[in-house]
Amino acid sequence: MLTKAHPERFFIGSIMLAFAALIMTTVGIKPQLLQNLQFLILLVSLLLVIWIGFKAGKFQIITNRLRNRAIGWLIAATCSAALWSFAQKSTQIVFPALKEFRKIWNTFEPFALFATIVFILFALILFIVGSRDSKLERPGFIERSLVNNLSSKIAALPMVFTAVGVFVIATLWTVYHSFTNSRMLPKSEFIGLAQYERLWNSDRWYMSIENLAIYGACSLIFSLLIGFMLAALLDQKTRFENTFRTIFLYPFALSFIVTGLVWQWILNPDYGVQKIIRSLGFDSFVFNPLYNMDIVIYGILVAGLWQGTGFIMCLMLAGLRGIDQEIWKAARIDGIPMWKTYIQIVIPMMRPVFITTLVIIAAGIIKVYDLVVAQTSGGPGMSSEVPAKYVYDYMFGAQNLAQGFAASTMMLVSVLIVLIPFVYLEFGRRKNA
Amino acid sequence: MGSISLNNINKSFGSTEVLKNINLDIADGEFLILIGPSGCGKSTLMNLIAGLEDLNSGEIIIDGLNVSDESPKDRDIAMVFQSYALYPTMNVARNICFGLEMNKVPKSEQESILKRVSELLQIDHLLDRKPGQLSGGQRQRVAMGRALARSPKVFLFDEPLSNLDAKLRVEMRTEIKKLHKRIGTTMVYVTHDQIEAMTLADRIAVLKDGELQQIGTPYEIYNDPVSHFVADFMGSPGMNFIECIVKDENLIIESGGKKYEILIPCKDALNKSNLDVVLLGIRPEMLTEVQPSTVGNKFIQKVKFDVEVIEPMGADTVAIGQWNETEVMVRLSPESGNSAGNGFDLQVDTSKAILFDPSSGLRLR
Repeated sequence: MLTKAHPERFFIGSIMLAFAALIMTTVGIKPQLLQNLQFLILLVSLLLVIWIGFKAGKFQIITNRLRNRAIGWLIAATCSAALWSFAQKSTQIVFPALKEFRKIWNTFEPFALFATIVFILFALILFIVGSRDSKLERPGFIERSLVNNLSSKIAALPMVFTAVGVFVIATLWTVYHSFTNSRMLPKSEFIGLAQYERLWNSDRWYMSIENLAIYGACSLIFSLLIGFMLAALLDQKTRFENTFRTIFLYPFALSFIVTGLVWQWILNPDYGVQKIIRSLGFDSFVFNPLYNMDIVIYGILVAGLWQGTGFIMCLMLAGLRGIDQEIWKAARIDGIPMWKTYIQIVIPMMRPVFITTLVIIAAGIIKVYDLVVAQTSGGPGMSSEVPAKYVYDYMFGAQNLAQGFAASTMMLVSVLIVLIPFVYLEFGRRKNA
Repeated sequence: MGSISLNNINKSFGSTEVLKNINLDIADGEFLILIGPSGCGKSTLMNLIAGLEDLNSGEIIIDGLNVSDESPKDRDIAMVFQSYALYPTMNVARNICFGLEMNKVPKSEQESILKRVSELLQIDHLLDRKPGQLSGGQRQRVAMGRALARSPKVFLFDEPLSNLDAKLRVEMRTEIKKLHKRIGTTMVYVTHDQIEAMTLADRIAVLKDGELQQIGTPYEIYNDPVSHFVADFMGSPGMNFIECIVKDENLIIESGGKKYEILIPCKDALNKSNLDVVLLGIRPEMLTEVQPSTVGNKFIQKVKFDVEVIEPMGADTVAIGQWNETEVMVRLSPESGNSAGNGFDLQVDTSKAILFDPSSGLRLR
């Protein structure tokens, strides 16, 4: 005898079968024997549903709020599926009007398909949970994540898909292909760690890493130091504060390319600082950092600092402004010297600002590329190469994708090595506290 | 110990004069309250005493030493702030000891001070916590502990109770008063809450627009204010001010649809002023229901009063009506307040009534 619970379970079962059929249709099954399997499964599930309906007399699908929501996800899935089907040739033959907009349909095709699958998955989860916990007094994790604010979650999904697609899938794809011998086009032929061996045997890569280390360390220290000093000075009720702030922030409005060009001219011995000083009568004066292999990276560093410190200053100034004036008064009455107040009280209080700043500076260091291209193109020789330039040059210049991928994977790994303990400390600590 | 003299103090920010020629002497061990509406310069005066702002002219003498140009740490003062200004990244113990540490007090001495202060304020179980983990009242105690640790000559309190809820405020108020009794140090306390001022102060200094209006004991300020402003500022519910026409040394009042000639005590002042219209100031508690035992007081008179609004406050009931088309608050017992309506028999006791010049707001004496 069928109890009330049975038809629901069968119904879930049939939906699962239909889902399997959908996946099979999309993936496509090669062997002749299985070619029509999906239709068979679909037919079986349909028959099952009809049989259940017949036996149970009536459907009791919407018996609680979870399953009610599942219907919502199913409707969303149907819409996505419809959108996907508009891009299919067979549909377009039946409805020629759709052909007019086939560019739109083609754009949305992969997203719609992906969304359909995800939505059906959500609906299934809700059905299963809704069937298992028939009482549902307290909203559980699934209900909180899939049911609350349903519409806003649906709206956020395209962005989630994009982020997952771009960051996760593209990253995995890159790492995967760094183990292949891809040249101009990606290939799937594994050659093990050969690309990495070649990378670590290359002088240019070593030079790049060394430069990045110098640039990174100096940029980090000086950006924070100069940025904080400027902010602290501006915070002393300075006259014309707005003017100074604007002046310091202006370079940030320029792109790295423009910054690089400007500083290339300034540091150029023929029409920059050296020329001016020589024309004042100091004929033997030499100042050409961009043409000296030993110090060229500092020439780039100066341009980078000039561009970036203003922004760091603004962040720091915002942080300083967030500190209660009474804290300063209390410190003065306690007889704490100003510099000690900064170091012992104010800077610890600005910890969140410093972390934000650190992340921004670190991201800027890792991706430094255009500054080098505009100022020196990696020269003289290869003395101002940086990893990002190495990656770009190998991927698009030398047409050796796998080598570029290996280099970018190394960059990712080094970032993760720095980042993971940091994140662990920062967030683990907060959870314990 | 810690007497303070403020001589001819002037302070202006740009072209705005914030303090105008303030002269104030605070005796050793005194609890002085600076009170005034917001923007009257009371916090600026406090900052000047603390040395957080520079004087434009005048001098500040603490314990016989001219400290006008000294930095805050050399003035031997301690201050408690409205927002408590605890260092959020340090725990309570370090908050209390940080100032000592900076002034190179030996470690063992720091510990004994910490022990003494934390026991005095009952915060010894909180020493390991960060300020963020404390309640408002606890933070307030820690802030006071930090001030106490320095054993200064003078304590400065800058609206220390404003951020607390009403009940806690009353508790901490008592706490501060007890503390003052126990340690006997000079305290200067800024507030805009007149109840705090009345309950805590040895003397109250009332400021308005950067000028010292009056300084005196709470009793003097309450019963013998020098001006309309001071009388209006102190007391809750506030004093009633009624413009009255003078007739034969009496004042004419229209109440409950009838005219009365009210007898007042300060006739000499009234005669001297030669005014036809004066401002009568009378506190609500002098206007009550008819009391049985009032024989022999010639200033007690009876008038009819139309009650428009009743505001029960528990201990007593405030009824609001009109005299000479001006709102008047009277203070009734809860029993008679409940039944008060039109034509209520009101007993007016003018023995403490005072008169002001309606144009200048100054007291007629």
